[in-house]
Amino acid sequence: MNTLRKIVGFCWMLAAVLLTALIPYFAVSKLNASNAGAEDFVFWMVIVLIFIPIIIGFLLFGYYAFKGEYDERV
Amino acid sequence: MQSKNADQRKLWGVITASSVGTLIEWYDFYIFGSLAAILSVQFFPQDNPTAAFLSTLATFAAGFIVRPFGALVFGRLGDVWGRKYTFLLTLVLMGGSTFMIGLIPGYASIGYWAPALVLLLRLLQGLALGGEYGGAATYVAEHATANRRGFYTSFIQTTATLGLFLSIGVILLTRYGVGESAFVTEWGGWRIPFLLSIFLVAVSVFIRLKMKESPLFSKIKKEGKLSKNPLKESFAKKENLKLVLLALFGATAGQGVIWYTGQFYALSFIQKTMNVEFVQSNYIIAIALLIGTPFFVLFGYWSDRVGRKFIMMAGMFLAILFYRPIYSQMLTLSDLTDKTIIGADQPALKLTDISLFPASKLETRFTDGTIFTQNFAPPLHGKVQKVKTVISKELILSRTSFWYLVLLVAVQVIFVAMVYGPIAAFLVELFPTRIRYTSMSLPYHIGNGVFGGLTPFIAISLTALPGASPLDGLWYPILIGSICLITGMLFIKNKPETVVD
Repeated sequence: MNTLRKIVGFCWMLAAVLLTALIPYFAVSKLNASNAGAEDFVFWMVIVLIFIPIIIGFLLFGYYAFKGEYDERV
Repeated sequence: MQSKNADQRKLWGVITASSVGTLIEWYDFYIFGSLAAILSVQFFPQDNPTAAFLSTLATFAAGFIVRPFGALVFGRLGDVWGRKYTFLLTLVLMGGSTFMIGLIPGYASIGYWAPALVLLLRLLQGLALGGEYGGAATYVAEHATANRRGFYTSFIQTTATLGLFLSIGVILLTRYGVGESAFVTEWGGWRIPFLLSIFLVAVSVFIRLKMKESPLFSKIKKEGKLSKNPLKESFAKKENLKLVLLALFGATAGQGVIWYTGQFYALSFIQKTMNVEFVQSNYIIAIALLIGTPFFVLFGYWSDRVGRKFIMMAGMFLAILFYRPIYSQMLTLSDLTDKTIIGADQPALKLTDISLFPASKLETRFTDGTIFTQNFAPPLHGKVQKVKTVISKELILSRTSFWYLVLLVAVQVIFVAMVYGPIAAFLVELFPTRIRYTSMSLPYHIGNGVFGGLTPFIAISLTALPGASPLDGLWYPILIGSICLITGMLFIKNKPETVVD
């Protein structure tokens, strides 16, 4: 079970890195679109602002899991 | 024996005082969302870019930024000043803001002041909501015995659903009472649900003022063990931060998406994708909520016997597994192709002949009782057009379809109850008393407010992608729910992580 936790932790770290790149990319591409309005600007600013700390938390969770911080010690 | 009865009475007093206040806070928060279409006309006219900008800010900032911020602000106060006064403050703030929204003149009367003031009050609502739940759950849990904590806190868990039910009920009753046309004007009936809030809050404040501080908080205060800096202790100390992250990614994020899918996305799907008429769609949700509500208490009670993890994870698993089949069935109910039109032999009632009609409304009745209405754009220069543009559709379901839809939504509310019923006890047991309010409030409001609150927006965006089907919006709750299920199954223990002091 502890090995599985480490694998999942590693996967979550990878997912967090991927999301860190993807969310700003989506935000920029949506805001650069010709039909982007003020509403899109607010929406994507809020998304980036709120999700970056959450993704850092997800990365940290994955890191702790990978390092065995959540392991059951017998 | 007498002392035991007195303790029981006191405990039920605590549960009632906490639950009624939290229910009113949810009611206040939801009436804004439920009346969004009218508020948009009165305060945020979409043809005005500044007002539309403020509207978007009110929608997203209140739920996604201010709620978690409120969790931090009031969580800290609750761990330093005490639970009782903090959640009294959040109640007054919420009730006051809601009441004030009901008093603000529309955009037509005071221009930009109207959307700016409504935005400010909406942000205050979000802030107050961020502080309320953690206080109420902590307050009840700290009065309850360890072996019944799931049962007693489950009454707090019913309040979000009952708050939604109450908001729908008050809106429908007011609309019915004043009539549809008088409901939507600038000083119309839509203001009544907002103004009513002040009376509900006054009663709740009166009840809460009589309550005493939580015994566990009083004990550590007397012993001088209060945290001097709950924020630092909650999020800067690795041992506690690990638990905060586990609570968020192993429980509350999944709970948030399941909660919003089962109630708000279901309503949005019924109204926008199935085109079910406004009043009927709200009845469907309201009845399903009533059917599902006792299950919150049942699963809370059961979690005291078998553990919190088992029930929460089973709820997530069932939701992930059954969302697509359930929504597929819901969609089938709005499919008219196999239904028989009354008087189909008369050419005037055939759906294919609508282009011949100059009228702007076409009502089609079916033998099973279904009524389908299409509203068309008015003819240009009074001429009959060859191709008519449908501007809105409205479906009134037959009795059988109505109840089947109630059942399908009620099943989703039961999934919500499985995940949400035991979660207050789970969160409370995860953190020590000195930093409990702060530590449990933040993951709860990120999970519920951010992950959950985004559900309708992301789901609708997914269905708008090229080649997407109406069911593709469900991939968001399924994905977040799956991440949370895997994390919860592997990392959460069925017994409390922290010894409750």
